Amino acid sequence: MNFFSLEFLIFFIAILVIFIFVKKAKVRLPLLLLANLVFYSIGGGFIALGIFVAIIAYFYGYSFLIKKYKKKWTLILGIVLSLLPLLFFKYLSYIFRQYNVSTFSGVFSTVGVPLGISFFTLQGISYFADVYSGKVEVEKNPLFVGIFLSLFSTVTSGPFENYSHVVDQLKKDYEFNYEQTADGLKNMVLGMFLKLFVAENLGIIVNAYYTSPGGNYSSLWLLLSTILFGFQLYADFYGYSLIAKGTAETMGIELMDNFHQPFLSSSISSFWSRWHISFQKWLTKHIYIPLGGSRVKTPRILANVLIVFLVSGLWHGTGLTFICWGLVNGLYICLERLLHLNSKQKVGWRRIVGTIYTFIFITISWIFFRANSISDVGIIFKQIFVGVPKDLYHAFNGTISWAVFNPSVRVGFGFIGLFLVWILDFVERKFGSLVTIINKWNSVLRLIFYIALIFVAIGFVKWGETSEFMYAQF
Amino acid sequence: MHSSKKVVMDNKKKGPGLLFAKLGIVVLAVFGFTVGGLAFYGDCEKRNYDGCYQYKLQLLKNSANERKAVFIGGSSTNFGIHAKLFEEETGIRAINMGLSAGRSFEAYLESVKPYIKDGDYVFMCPEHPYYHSEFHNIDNGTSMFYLFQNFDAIKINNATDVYNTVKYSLYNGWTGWLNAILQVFDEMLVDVFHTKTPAVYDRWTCNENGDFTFHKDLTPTVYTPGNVSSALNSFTFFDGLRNYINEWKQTVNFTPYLLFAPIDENAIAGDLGFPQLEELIEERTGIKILNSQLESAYPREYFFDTYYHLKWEYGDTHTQLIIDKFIEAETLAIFA
Repeated sequence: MNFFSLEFLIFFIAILVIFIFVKKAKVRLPLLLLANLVFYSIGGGFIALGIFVAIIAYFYGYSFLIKKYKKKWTLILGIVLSLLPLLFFKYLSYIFRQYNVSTFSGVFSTVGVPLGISFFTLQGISYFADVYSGKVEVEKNPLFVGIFLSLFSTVTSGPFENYSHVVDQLKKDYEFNYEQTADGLKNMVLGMFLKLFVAENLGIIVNAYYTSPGGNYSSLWLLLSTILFGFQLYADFYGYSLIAKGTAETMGIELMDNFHQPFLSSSISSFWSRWHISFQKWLTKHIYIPLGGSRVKTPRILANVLIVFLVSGLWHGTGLTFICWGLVNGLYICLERLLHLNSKQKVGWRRIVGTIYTFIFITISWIFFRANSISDVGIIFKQIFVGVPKDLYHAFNGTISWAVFNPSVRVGFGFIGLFLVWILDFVERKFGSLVTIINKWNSVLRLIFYIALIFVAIGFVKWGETSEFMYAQF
Repeated sequence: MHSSKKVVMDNKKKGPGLLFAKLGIVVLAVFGFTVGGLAFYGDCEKRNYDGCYQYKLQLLKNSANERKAVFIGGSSTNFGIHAKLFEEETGIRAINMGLSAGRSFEAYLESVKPYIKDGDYVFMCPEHPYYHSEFHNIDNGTSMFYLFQNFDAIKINNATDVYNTVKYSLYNGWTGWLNAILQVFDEMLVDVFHTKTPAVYDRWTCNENGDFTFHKDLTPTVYTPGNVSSALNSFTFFDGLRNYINEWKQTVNFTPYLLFAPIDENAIAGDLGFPQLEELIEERTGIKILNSQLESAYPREYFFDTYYHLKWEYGDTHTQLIIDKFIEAETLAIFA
C-alpha cells in the first residue's frame, strides 16, 4: 500500500484512533498483527499474503530448533532455507527472464516478487542469529515474531531492526505520550515533504536524462542529473524512513534512525556508516563480523569489505549494474583503508577536501546504481568525461549558446531541493533532529510551518503521478 | 505568578484531545485553503479537459451539416494544429478536436462520429503512446482520464457550492481534495508566479475552430527528450483503427487521413526507421499518411516542454505543411 494513497490515509487514521485508545498489550498485539496483515494484503495481494504468513510461521517454528540444538549447522540451514524464497522470487525470476525460460513464468506473473521479501527475510535471519547467540530468548508467543516481521511501518523498506528493540516495546501496556505521537506525525509530514517536493522534482530531471542517456542533448544535463540523483535518492529514502519512523511512533514504537547526515561525511567509509544505517549495521553484524571483521590480517579485511559490498549490491538488485556499484564502493573503502584516508578526526581544510572528494566519488558510484544497463553506464561516463569538457569549451568559445542548457522552473525546484537537503544535513548535524529543533518554536509558528510543508509538498506534484519509493523495488 | 502558572500548565499532562484538536486545525486549514482558493479563482467549470472538450464538441455539433475537416488527436494536435489557418486557406470549415492522449483514440472517434457527414475529412493524428497500445480501451482510458484530469470544480459563491465541493471531494476521496488543491495551486502558479505551463485544462482559451490560443508565458518545464524507440512493437492499434474506419465508412462517405505528430528531430526514432514505418502503417490501415514523419521533425527550439508539443508560433508551420500536403493529395485524387 502506497503511503500516498487514499487507502493508506483511511488505514492510518483508523490505526491512530485505535492505538491511542487501546492500551492493554494483550488487546493491542492481535490488533496490530491484524492491521499489518491487512496492510500487507492490500499492498501485496492475497497470494503474497499467504506466502508471507508461511514465511513468518517458518521463522517462528524454526527458531525452536536453533534453540534446541544450539549447533552452527542448524543456524546455517535455517538461514539457507530462509533465503530460498528470496532467491526464488527475486533472483531466479531475473535469470529466467534473462534467458527466456518460461517454466516458472506463470508463477512469477501471478505472484510477482512478494512485497518486502528482501526486508523481512533479513529481519528473520537477524532473529535467528540473535536466538543462536543467546541475545534473545526463543519467542513462544507467535504474535511477537509475527509483528516484528510484518510491522507495516517497516515491512516494505525497513529500517532493519533488532528483535529485542521492537519486541521489548510491544510487551508493555501502552501509555499515551503526546510528545511521541505528535513527533511521529511531524516526522511523517517532513518525510512527505522530502519525498513529494524534493525527490519528485529532482526525479523529473534525473529520469528525463537517464531514460535515454545517449540522447542528443547537452552532456551538462547528464552531469547535472548525475549529481542530483544522489540527492533524489537521499530525499526519497530519508523521506520514506521518516514516514516509517513516524507511523511507528504514533503507535508508541521507536525505530532507529536510518540516516545521519551522509552528505557531510569527510570519507567514503564515514558516508557508508551514515547512509542506510540499519542495513549497514545488519551487514556488519551478520556478514562482516562473522567473516572475521577487522580482527584479521589486512588482505582478509579487504576481502571481507569487498564481500560485504558485493552482498549489498546483490541485495539491491539483480542486474550487473548493482554488482558493479557494490564492488566500486567496496574498492573505495579498501583504498581508503590502505591510504589511511578513513580517519574520522578530520578538521579544517582536511574536512572540506574530504567532504568534496567523498561527494565526487560517491556520485560516480551512483551512476552504476541508477543506469538502466552497463552499456548505459559506458555512455554516461563518456558523456560526462568527454562530452562535458567539449560542451563547456564550445559554450565558452561561443560556438554553442548557453541557452541550449535551457534553465527551467523544474530545474529551479530541483536546486531548491538540493539546497534544502544540504541545509537539513547542516542543521541536524549542528542542532539535532529537525523535529526537535522545531519543537522549540512557538506552537502557532510550528503549526503554520507544518501546514505550509503539507501545502508545498502536495502543491508541486501531480497527485496520482507520484512515483513509488525507490527502495520499495529492492 | 506568571511563571508558576506556566509550570502548572507544563506539568499538566497533554492528552489525545489536544492532539486531535491540532490535527483538526491542520485539516481545516487544508480544506479551508481549498474551498477559499476555489472561491477566489472560481469559474473553474470550463477550465478542465472535459469543459474544453465539450466546447469543441459544441463547435462540431454547430457545424454538423457543413462540409468540414476535423482534426482528432492528443495534445500534439491541440498545440500543433491551427484549424483556423486550415479553414482560411482551404475554405473548408475546420475544427481542432485535439486534447490529450490520456483518453483513448477510440473514445475520441466515438464522440465525433455522429457529426461526420458525407464529404467530410477526418484527420487522425495518434500520439506515439497509442502506437503500442490497444485500440479498444475506452473504459480504462476514460476512467483514468476522469479521475485525474477532469476535476469538475465548482465556482464557489455560497454555502450550497461549498457543500457540493465537499460532497464531490468526499465522493472522490483524498484524490478529490488533492485535485482541488492542485487546481488552486495551478491557478496560482500561472496567474501569480507565471511559472507553470498553462495546459489546456487550466487555461481554456480555444478559438472558434477549437485551437488552443493561449500562447503567452509558455514557460517550459524541464524538456523531456524524445524516445520513440518502442513506438511500434505491434500493429494492434492500427489494425483496430483500420477495422473501425472501414466499418464507419460503410455508412458515411468521408475521407480519412493519417497524420504524424510533430516531433523533435533529435528524438530517437523507432527500430524500423520512419520511411519503412510509414509504408507499413499505410499498407496495414489502407489510409494515406499525409505528412511524412521526417517532414514533421522540427528543430528542438520549436518545442516547449516535450518532444512533441510545438510552441504556439510553430503550429502555423506544422499546419501549413499539412495544408500543402492535403491540397496535393486532393489534387491528385481528382486526376486519379
